[in-house]
Amino acid sequence: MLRPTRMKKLQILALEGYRDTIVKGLQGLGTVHLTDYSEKLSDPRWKELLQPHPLSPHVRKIATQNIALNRLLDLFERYDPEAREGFFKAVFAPLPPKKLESRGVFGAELIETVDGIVEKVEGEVENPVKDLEKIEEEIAELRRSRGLLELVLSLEIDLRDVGESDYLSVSIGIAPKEALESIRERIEDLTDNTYYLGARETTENKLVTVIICLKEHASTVLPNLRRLNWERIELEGQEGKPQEAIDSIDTRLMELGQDKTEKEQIIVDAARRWRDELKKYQEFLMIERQRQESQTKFARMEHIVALEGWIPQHSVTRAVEEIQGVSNGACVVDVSDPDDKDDVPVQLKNPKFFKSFELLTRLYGLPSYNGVDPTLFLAPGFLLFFAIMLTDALYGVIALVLGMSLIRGGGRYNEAIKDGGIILSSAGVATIIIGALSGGWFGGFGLRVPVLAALQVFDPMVQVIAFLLIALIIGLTHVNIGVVINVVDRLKTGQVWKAMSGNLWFLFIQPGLFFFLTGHKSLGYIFIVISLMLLFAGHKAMSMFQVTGFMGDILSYARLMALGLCTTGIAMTVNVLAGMLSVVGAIGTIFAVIIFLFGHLFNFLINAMGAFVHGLRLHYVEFFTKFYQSGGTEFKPLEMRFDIVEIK
Amino acid sequence: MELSSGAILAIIGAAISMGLAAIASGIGVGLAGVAGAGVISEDPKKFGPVLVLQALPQTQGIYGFLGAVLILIGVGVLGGVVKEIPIGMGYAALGGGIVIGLSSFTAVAQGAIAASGMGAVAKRPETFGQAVVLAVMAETFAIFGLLIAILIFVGTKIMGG
Repeated sequence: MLRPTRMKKLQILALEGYRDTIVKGLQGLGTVHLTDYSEKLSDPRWKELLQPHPLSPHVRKIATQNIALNRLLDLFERYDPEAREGFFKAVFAPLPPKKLESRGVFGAELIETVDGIVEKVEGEVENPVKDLEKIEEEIAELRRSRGLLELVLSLEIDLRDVGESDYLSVSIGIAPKEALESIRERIEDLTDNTYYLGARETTENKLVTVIICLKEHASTVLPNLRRLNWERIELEGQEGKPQEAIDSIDTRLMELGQDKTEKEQIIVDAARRWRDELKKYQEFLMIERQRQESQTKFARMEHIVALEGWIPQHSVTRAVEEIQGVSNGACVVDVSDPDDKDDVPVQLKNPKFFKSFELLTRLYGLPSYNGVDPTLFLAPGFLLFFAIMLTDALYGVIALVLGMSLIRGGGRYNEAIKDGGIILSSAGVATIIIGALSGGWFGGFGLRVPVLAALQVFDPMVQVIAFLLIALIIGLTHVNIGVVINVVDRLKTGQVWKAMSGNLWFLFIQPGLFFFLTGHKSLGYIFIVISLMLLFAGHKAMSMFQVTGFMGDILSYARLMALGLCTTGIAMTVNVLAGMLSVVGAIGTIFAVIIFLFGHLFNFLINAMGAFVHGLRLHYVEFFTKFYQSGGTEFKPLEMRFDIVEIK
Repeated sequence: MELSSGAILAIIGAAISMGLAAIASGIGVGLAGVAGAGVISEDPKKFGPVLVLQALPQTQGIYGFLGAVLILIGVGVLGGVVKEIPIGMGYAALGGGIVIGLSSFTAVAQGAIAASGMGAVAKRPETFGQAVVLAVMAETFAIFGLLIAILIFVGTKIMGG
């Protein structure tokens, strides 16, 4: 406890031929974090002995297969979308995730199987997909023509006549209403009065026009009209009156629609039959890719392959046995302790309940391998601070209920949701206790019940100064714990001078001031002098800032009281507002109930969020800075982690 | 109803507390909201973290509201009967309102930090926790403002008197 899992360095030399079986064995164990040899290989002494291991030829093939699977799954998703759970259902009441039973398929067999399946599925959907593309293109074109035809619907001409004949040019166009006269004048000018201009109303403020003129005039008339905002409508290839043309387009659209549904159904059928299979192999490919890619971390010489990694101390025996077993003893396994220069990966190790609070430690950053894991301290501190800032037993009940529903809902299948649920419900329990002691039951609402009123030992709205003092004393204690952890940790690791010159002065100045102020002046002087000596020896010119820094840290805990009062004050306000409305009659009572419920819900949400972030802040900024060394690399073992596949 | 000068000063204090805090929180939430809309336009799935970051500068508005309500309760405006307030007590309440109102302007800075935090979250979602902590730092001084106001109210018997 208090430190991350102890690790051993694992070095393996094996015959090249056993490479794949060893990697498979390690992946099955899931306890070895492989490290990259390439850093070592930049050292000339190592370079003489070993070369970097070449990239596995399977990696590229697997990537291609993965793309093919994704493309097919995307296609299925487009035509046959899978039902998805909404946010609240997924968090509070999800269905059990689907599991697919399968025997393990790996290596060459996997690649061959996936090739076969991809070929088969692509064969099934290739033609329908091509047909659908064509159908969709035609539909888009027909819709465009139909849109144009609707504009000229009021014209009673046969569309076969539109265009150029031996002597005449017939054009259809759209123009703004007010431009009609200038269009007429322009045509008159350009055609020596040899023309026909017909106009009918179409969409708002627009006219649809038919212009008939001599063929030789057309090339000058039409470009000229464009400057008057006349827009030509191209209707080549249409027959009959506009309404007839629209009818024939509608018939064709209907045919295409049926055709489209048929083709889509083929893809939907394929989706229903193949989707699970594709997902299953997608997961197998992911495992295989990790296995193949891990080879880039290895080194080799002639027929030997070299691997290096980290393994938790308690898993060493089992791993060594496994490696010896799968390689028939044709390997050398060396297990050693890390040295100071090693960047040892960090795996946090905490008892069951506290494990959930690792989430909050991770949010700040993992501790370094030789540092203290603060989770055990963080959990009780965070719960206490959260409760003091929320100070209302019924708000605690809301948090508890929400937390329990998370644990029993999404928490069954999702570790992060479960951790969140455990944190929230234990914060709820802490808030119920603190809330009951300070008489917070939706503000003072619940105090009408004598039993609840009897539980109250403290009134934050009245004993304001006492509340502030309690907050500051909690702060002082919290900061002291941080300093003690730091001193003990440094003494344990043999850094005596660092332990003395760090923040130890702060532990001496407190009894010093206490004795000084309570009349034991000489004893007080001794402590104060020792404290000042430690302070100046350790921090020299920066000593003054140490003192102000600590004062600032402790004052910062005053937020416990300010935010606690904030919750109580707003709860009180909600009750006062609801109370004022409730005397106005029946409608007033209804509004009073609404204001009461929504007001308290709002107050809970906003202040629970405040309690959460400020509870964390007091740890990250005031507490962690006293002892915490972050910057650890996460322990990520090579493992076989299946989400949907269940190996038989 | 004839109000005493003390009561009037206290009520002005309540108005300043809420009014300034509303302006400051509004600007802060606005700054964060503009950045948030940008992030959502790229990736609507980030709505959750963006909303939390945008909500942070709202707290100062709530402190302003709380300060105003404490004054109004102390003076008796909330609760029916307006008390006879000595003029000195009125000035004290006004001072409390001013300190809350002015310290609420940390919400503007907090909004700016939250906005850049959203940029960080857009690129690297795992930085959400850190982004929240960075923004929360700015709120410390608003909390101290509220604290001083509460001490003024307690010391001059506006609260608990």
